[in-house]
Amino acid sequence: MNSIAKENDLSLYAFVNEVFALILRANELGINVSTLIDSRELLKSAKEGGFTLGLERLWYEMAEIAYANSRKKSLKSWFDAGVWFAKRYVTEETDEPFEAFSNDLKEFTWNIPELEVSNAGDTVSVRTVSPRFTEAYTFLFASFLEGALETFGYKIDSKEVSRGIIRLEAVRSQR
Amino acid sequence: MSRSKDKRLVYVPGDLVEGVKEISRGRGKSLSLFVGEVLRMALKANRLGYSPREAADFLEVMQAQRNLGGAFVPADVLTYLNDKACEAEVEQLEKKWYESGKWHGKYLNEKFDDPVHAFKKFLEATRWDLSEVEVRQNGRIIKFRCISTLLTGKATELLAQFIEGAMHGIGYQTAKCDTLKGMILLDFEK
Repeated sequence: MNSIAKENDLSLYAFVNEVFALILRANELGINVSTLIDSRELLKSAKEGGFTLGLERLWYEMAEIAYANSRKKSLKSWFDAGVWFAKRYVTEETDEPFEAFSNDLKEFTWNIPELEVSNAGDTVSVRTVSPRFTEAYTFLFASFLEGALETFGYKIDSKEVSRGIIRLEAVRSQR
Repeated sequence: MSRSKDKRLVYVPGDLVEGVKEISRGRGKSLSLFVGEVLRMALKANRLGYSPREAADFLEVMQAQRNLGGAFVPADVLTYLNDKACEAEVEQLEKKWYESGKWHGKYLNEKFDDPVHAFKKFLEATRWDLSEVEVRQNGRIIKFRCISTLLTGKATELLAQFIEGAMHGIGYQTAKCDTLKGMILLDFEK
């Protein structure tokens, strides 16, 4: 700790004081300091996963405009983004790529109150519920999910999309 | 015996100790156990590139971002949305970025003692497509300089609108605005 204090141009005394002040500030905000570590790691993995953080409402409004202007191209853009996102996990050397994908997806969609991904045998089902989603955003996000699932080798078997609600069932396609 | 040798005495102001004592009590932990945990976390934060003061800034910015309704969007999709939506609706889109920034600025103004500093921290923490965010105060003027090698021309203009909106929301007026692809130079005054 002494060496870290020195790295930060602080005495050990000043370093410990700053840590204590941080704890008090976090407490005022109603946050546990471990949230800081989690947030930092989340941002790092979102950055590596090709995501940008911004205001939800602005994303929805922009999606509305683009979707109204060019529905087909907009859907393809989100589908391709889903393919790119999933490809990272498919090509990564991990034991459970789908589980890693599913965990990160849930982390990156903190604004979605309900997102369930279940994987049993050759079938996968995804269910999302978000009252704040606009109609355009719901269809675009569904397209993103489809792109990701197809990259994992699943074929969409049934699909139900309406404003704020997405339900997808997919089965592993025959190779 | 060896356990006591491993311990060090560091002087800490009484008011900080009292505050931390209260938090540890609230979490059902002894003060020494809690302080040990907290210092271990500070070491971890340092490995992630944060001094305690930067960590405190980051914590507040992230909390504000969650309160404001922050959401992740694929970067490629954002590039597409910027370009596609701009094709037909340049002014409409600029207005949306401006209004969104203004709303953000108003929130920061209410929430932070130094909203301009908080806004800079927000840009640094969340806009990783920016390689440089510089905010300098020169008398009554606040100068913003953002550099990115990744932003398209339209994305640069929209981000400039967002920054202008935020600064207007904080209570500043634009004195000078200059944008080039990947570069935003803005001056504001009260």
